[in-house]
Amino acid sequence: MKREKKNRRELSLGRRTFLKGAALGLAATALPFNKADASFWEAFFQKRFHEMNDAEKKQVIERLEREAEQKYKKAIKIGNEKAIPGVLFGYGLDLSRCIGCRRCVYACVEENNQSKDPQIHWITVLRFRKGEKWVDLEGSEKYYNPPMVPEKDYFYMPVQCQQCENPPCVRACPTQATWKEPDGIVVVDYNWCIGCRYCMAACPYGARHFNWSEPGRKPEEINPNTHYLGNRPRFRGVVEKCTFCIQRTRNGRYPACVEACPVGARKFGNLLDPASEMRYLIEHKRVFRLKEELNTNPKFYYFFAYGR
Amino acid sequence: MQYKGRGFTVVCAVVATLAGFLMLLTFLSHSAESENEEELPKKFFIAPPPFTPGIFPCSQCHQGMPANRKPRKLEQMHQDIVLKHMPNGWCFDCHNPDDRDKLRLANGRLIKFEESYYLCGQCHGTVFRDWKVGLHGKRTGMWNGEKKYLLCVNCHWPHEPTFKPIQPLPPPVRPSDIK
Amino acid sequence: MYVHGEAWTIKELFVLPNEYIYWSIQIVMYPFMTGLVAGAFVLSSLYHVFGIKQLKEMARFALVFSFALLPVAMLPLQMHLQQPQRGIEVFMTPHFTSAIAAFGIVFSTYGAIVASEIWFVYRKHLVRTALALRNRANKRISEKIQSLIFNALTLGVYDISERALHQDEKAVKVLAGIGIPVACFLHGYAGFIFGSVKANALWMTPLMPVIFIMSAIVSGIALCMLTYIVVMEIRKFLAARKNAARLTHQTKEEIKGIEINVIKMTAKYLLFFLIFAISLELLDLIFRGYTAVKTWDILRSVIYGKDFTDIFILQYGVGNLLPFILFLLPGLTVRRTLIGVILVLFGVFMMRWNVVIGGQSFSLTFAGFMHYHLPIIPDSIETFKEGLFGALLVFATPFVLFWILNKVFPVFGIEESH
Repeated sequence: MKREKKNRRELSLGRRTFLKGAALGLAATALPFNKADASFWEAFFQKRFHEMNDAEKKQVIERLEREAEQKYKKAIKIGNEKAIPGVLFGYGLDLSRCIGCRRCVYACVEENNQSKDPQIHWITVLRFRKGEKWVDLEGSEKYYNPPMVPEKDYFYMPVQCQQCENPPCVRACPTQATWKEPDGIVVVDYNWCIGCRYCMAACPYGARHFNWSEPGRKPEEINPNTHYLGNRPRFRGVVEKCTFCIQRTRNGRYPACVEACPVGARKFGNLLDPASEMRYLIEHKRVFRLKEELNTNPKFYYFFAYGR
Repeated sequence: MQYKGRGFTVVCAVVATLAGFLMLLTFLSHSAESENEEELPKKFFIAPPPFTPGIFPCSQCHQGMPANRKPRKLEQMHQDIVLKHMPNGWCFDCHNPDDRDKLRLANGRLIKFEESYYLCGQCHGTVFRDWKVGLHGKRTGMWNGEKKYLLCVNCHWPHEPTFKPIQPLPPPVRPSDIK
Repeated sequence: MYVHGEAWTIKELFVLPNEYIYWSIQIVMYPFMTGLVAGAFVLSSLYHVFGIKQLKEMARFALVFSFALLPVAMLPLQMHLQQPQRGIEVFMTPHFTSAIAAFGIVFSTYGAIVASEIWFVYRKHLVRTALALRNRANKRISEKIQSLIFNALTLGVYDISERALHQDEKAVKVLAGIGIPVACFLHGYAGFIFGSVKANALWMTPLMPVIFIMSAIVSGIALCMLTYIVVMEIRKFLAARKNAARLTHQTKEEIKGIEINVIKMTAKYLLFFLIFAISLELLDLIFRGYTAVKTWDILRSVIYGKDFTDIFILQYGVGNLLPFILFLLPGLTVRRTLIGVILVLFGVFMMRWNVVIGGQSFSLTFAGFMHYHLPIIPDSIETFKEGLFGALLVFATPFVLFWILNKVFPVFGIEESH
């Protein structure tokens, strides 16, 4: 009996010592050895975007701005503009005008801080031969590189996130890291994405892109005007995509691709405003959307300028 | 009835003249801008015409110069402008021979170079209609505010409007090329 | 000008002018009847192939019933075809890209298999009866005819030694084994007829052949159980009446009555296949609802709106859930089984109805509906053939055929080879 008691005491002491040691060890890891470690825990315990109140969001943004400044040695502003009420963004693309010059692609890269090495393009321009079956997109060529565009007998169709009203990617996300904002933009919270890429599989348009490694972008190339849900500097292991230049459009400006297009093939506006060019477009032009049978209800309208 | 005196009559006359003048002003100003305001949205600004520096006003050279209305190949000046627009057309189909600082519509009306879209719209009516709404041409500015409208000629050189092919920017990297 | 389908189609909203419900009650009856064929055969094979001894009684019964159902499978088609005299062309000049062309091959193969299997199963009885009739002197006309039939059916083989009977057993096993996939094919192709039509949003699914097979087996088992119960009750009743005793060849005591064990065993298999069938159907529905492609809007309004009663209350509720509960409750009685199998048959019929009629109840525009109302009182050949009485005729015929077949291949009270 005595021996058992003694053994038990020894055992319980052993357990206590172990627990003490473990607690100390855990606390030690929480000590900020340098700034990066502190923000690691802050990042880990960051709440979901929707659950945070404005003050918490501000805190998170400040931390992110600090981290970005540290990394890129440049003051980065991360905005958090909310959706303007009464606005639903729509996009129009004039297939009779696009010449396949890819200036929209690179304007987007410059504006939205995409990684250049490895290369990520949010816009893909597909080339089709005139007169051949094209609607199924199987005959498309995206690596075309002729000396001059447009080429005879070919036409060009840029594809980017279609900002669907019924987005299959939002449905597929297991953690609700991507959702549709009230103004219709489908956004990704890069601090909540777990990198499973189910959304990439679910997107019928191939519009989502993944950061397989740390984005390679030089500090001088960083656009400092960013949005939390848009073009702020990303990191390894998260999904990104076109956000209709949320940092611009929520401040009333046109997306970068619209302004870059030299032939005026791109149109943008508020679908809910009866006087906007987007409303005129869908009411008066022959519009179609890609893969309509899948019922994703995209807000990216392709049209032909000629005829009504 | 009491006699108000001469001062009263003067005041009445001044007030009436002022009122009439104001009415005239509003009427005039309204009619002058009415065409533009009806057709184009409220907040807009139109880019200025892209003149070659120093070429405008044309009357610098053409004042006093007699107009030769015979369609011919120009030799002494403007010989670099070859018209590849409107088959069988020539300079005075659009330019006004009597006042080179204006353009002339088919019905004889004269318009400023800043309003050259009316001229293009004569034949390209459907494009003009789209342009007025904001559906044709390069779009910059604010989608819910001040949009910048470019003139037709800011993109399409009226003497040879077809766009020349340009060099495309590089294609995306093929996955097989990534090391 | 008479328009086929006009008599029983009511249109609503945006329906194209030449759209009517063209496939009516007879096309509902067709997969129902072929399902019974396949199901009955699978039931009999459960004994012959898998050796489940308790199903021996039911196996013989099911086999003959399957054979009785087989010609009836063609009947609804003949009544539906607008050129029935040319129906034979499906056999003669089949176009094999069409699912319906498979009908000819599958039907003949299956018929041959069932016929052969019955022959092997009943050979001992046939030979004995043939020999007995041949040796009898002074035959009456009917006996002369009977002798002719039985002797012809023996196909000239009179060997009923132990060795021969043993070989018969083996042959039956092989035939039953081959017959199961053929039976599945027989009804699978019926499911394929619907499932491969990409133009119809409700029919288009790769699950359709499998759903049809499973519910076919369910219906086959249910019908065999129903007929078994009914026939045994009739026989017991007749045996009890002294003057009718001769009809049954046995006394009441000899008729062992409905073997509740047989019923219970068969009910277990019925449940198993019922679960399978329900799971597949629900899976199809859930899948459609989740992926929600463009056609989901109209399908949802048909499934959850227009046909809600037919699908959820009649088919799933009364036809699946209720018998499920009835069979699962402990202490299964014959009466409860009887109600259960009738409900199951109703459920399977409603499933065919919901697929055939439901699939035609929305327009190709996806913006209009068509309502089908079954012609009850016939006012022409058309409304008779494609109406209630045509359907009842089709349903009643196998029982008549079964009664006739029973004279040659008796299902009760004989020593058979197997």
